[in-house]
Amino acid sequence: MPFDSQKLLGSRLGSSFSNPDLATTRRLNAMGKGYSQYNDQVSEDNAHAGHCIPFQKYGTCHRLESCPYFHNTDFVHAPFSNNEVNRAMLARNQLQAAMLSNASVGNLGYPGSIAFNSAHYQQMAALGNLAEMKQLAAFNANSPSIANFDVDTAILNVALNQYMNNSSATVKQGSSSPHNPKRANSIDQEGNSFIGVSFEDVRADIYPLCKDQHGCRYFQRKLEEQIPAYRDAIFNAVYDHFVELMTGEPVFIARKSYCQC
Amino acid sequence: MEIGSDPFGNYLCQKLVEYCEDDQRMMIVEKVAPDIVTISLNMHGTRAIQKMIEFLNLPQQVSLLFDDDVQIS
Repeated sequence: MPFDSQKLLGSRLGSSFSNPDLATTRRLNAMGKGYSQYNDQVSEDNAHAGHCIPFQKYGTCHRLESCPYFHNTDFVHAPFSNNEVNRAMLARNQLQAAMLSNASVGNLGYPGSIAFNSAHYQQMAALGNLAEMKQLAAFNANSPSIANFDVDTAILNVALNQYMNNSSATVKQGSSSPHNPKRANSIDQEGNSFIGVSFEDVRADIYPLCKDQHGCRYFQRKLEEQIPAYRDAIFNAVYDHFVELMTGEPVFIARKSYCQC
Repeated sequence: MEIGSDPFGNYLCQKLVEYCEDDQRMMIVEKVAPDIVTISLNMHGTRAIQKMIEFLNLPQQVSLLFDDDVQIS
């Protein structure tokens, strides 16, 4: 496999970039400008060296087809509007690299054969369990019979959202009122478990999830978005159990005690 | 049969009452009205009922909720 993802992760840099700080700075600068420009420049720099440096893998290099390395051209034309998107993209790329790296190493430390399907991944996505998802993805990559596309997309979305959420949470924390800092971002920070879960994925399980702390907060956030479709879906799912949800007790107990009064 | 209580559902109920449409709120009031005394005596339910009373906006909702069960002095 010509694609050495360890290099992509920045742990081992090419010989011409032995100073990691310099390399990181240049990489970050390049992300702001767009990959293609950076790649052209570096290609010239390394024309004599005769090898690709890791960052070139994000775009085309001057050797085109003859280059032995894998180039991910998806990001060449991606618009980089602000820093958050850049960082999220970086996280996404690193994650992809980590997945490929695991896949090439093989099924390490994952015993037994477990049936994988999209439900597993959705469940893990809901729990935000990125590490486990990566491990499973690595295992999954070894069995060609399973379609990886949805899995990869789900994992990347979770990573992206977690990354975005982390950066925005830091900003909010800095700007929150010093008098009441806990209340300022209680829902945003404590309800993190469902970050990145789309409403369609949980539409079928609204009522069971209402009993979960994080699920409940997730739906509260969805209500605050004031989207009529979401509101109606939540209402219809919850309406039959409204008294039960209000009291936190099964409804027949409530009715029984009512009769005794 | 379910065991244990759920301390979180009432927050969702409060939000739902706050953000729902008038006809939906009417449905909720109809649903809750028969059990309002019991719910009000419940630790979690009483908060949800208080929130609901805050957001009542139609006279018929008020009468539905209070006329049968509670004597308003």
